[in-house]
Amino acid sequence: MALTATIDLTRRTVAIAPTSQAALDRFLGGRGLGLSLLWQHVAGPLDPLGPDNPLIFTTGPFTGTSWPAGARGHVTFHSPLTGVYGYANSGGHFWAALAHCGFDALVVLGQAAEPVRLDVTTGAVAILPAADLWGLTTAVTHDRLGASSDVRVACIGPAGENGVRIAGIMNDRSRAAARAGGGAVMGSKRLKAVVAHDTKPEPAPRPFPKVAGEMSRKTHKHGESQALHRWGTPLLIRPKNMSGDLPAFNHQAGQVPFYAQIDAEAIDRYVTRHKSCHACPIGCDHETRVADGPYATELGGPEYETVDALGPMLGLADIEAIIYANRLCNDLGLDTISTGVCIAFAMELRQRGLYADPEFSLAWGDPASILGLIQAIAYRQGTGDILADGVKRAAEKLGPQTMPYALHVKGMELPRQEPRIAKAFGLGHMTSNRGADHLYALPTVDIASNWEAARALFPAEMLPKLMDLADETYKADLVAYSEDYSAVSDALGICKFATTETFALMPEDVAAGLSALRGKPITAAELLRAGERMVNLERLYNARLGLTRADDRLPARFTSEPLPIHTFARDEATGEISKSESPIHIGLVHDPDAMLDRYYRLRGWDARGLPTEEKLRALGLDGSLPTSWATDERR
Amino acid sequence: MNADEREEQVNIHIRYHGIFAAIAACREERLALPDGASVGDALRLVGRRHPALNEALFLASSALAPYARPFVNGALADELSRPLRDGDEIALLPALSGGMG
Repeated sequence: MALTATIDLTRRTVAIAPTSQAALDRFLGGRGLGLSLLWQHVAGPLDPLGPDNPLIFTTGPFTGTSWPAGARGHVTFHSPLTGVYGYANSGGHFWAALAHCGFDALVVLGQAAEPVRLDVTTGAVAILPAADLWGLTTAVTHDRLGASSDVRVACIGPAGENGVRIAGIMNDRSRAAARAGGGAVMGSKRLKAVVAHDTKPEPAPRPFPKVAGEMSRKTHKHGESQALHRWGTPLLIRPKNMSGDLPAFNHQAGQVPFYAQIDAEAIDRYVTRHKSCHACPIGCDHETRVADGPYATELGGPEYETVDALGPMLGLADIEAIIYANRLCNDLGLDTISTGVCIAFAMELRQRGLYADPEFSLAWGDPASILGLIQAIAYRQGTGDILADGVKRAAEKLGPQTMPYALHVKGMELPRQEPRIAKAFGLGHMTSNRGADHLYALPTVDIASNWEAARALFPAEMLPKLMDLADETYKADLVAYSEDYSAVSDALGICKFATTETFALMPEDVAAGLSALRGKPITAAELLRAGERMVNLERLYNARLGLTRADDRLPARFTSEPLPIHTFARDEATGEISKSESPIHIGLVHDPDAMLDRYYRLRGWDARGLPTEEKLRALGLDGSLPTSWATDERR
Repeated sequence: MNADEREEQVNIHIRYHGIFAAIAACREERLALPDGASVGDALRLVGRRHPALNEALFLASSALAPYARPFVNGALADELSRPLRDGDEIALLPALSGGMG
């Protein structure tokens, strides 16, 4: 059973039909299916918070199966944060339940007159009243809806209800489809929650469980899987600090001397248990508990991105306060990355004498300012109301003198990599079609010293430069490949920790699994072609809105402010950590245009970053071209 | 008596990659270790030579950091107790990875 439900909240109607096989053949499912449905429903500019913006929940063919880490799902929409193509992706168990109910897609249209929730059972969707849930935090909403192993919940918090453009959607209490403002779209529809009642899935075709089992064992045995299971993503904090890739003080620094207070070992003291998303042989997730004191709380997490966004980025060294701030963001339904970057922006403006708040000091590391602003953003109060629209709009409101400190690409706040050190990630932030994003490409091969993957994927003569973090020559090659494979991962409903993060599974492995599941062969090359097709249609969606090369641009800080990187040593007697006087390296993005030029050439796009007709024809997307394409003045 | 002071009988080569090369301020070194020395002994020796590298390689618990990957003659050394032989080459790679979640 492969169903798409179209739910019109204005008319209060639900129409259920088989999912388009043509769409699945071309775009696989998940992110690809969401994209093709968005493309059908949106023909040009629209009010992202109006009734015409579809909110599309999709699962992939592997979601909810026994495929390793087949836990992911996707939400696609026209972003209220960027004004262009938007999506968010998360793991947990909600998506598996949605897939077990038989749904590839829920397409939510219109706006309800009163708050509602969707109740999803096998082959059916009901629109139910939810006025009693409006205003509640995401945690209390989960409680009220009876969230359990049989009842899986995705919902918004007050931030989404209040139209905060950096609001996300929380599922399974602590998993976040966080980015690009999907929570605000859901709030604009007065849709508080989607509840999926899990049921026994249809049995997979006979060869599939065997292939999935083999791949699960392969993923489990991978060295990085073992480290992720033990430490979770916070294991990144320490090495990133050593390399200068731990953004701090709104990217005025790439290292902090207090790294040992917030790293994986520090967090480990608060870990109460390890847990896994559906069918995951890695199990990187963990729960933490601060037992007492002003920051007493319980949390699913924290993850690396959040620790940096709410810690070093804000100069905050207190791990208990970081955990508490993370929980607060989850409860209110805020994207922790964007929230941290927005607060860092305000703090740097205060540092430079460009802004002051009557209530909060905005001093670096001040927990009262950080926790107070998180609340103020969610409820659109004072400075929080300005930041609630993201740093781009906030800078436009506060004046041109503030714009250099608003760190975004295409209007979305930068995730937690330092582009002057992690050059491939920097390029990935630039080219991502949903705005600055570490997961759109997830180009890890060089920074992870993954020579095995590098040798398998790229010509030998490229490798010395490609694997050199500081060398910009072949970063485009790494980004273009990773974007395609990441798109495949998102479309199939699998976690990138098994694919582009680690390459525990190569495209050939994934193709073997999909062939077994569908009962018809697909090659690795065909899979990657589908990924490329997605990236091109996403680019076309944005090009139709007028985006071009000028929008593939990093903030000037990364190309004009050299970043000195130091070493740290610990005094064995006192335990004190000291920073070297002289830097060992100076980070800077030297030639973003050269990286972009090569990336566009590899993609078969023109110098303006727009897909050529030849490329679109080759991908079977020529029917998607606007009739005015050839003469469009924007080009 | 520590590994530095004992009779030196095993000569090995260590190559630093990525951030480890920057922290050690060199790409490779030759090490002389006593007979029976292990991968862990070699890493602790370079840690003493380069305190900043020591901070990068070892956790507060003295365990090897999970992102530090020592390869001996091209094969990942799963155990620090793995003994070294004369002429062995250690490649020390950082697995920093990207960040997620």
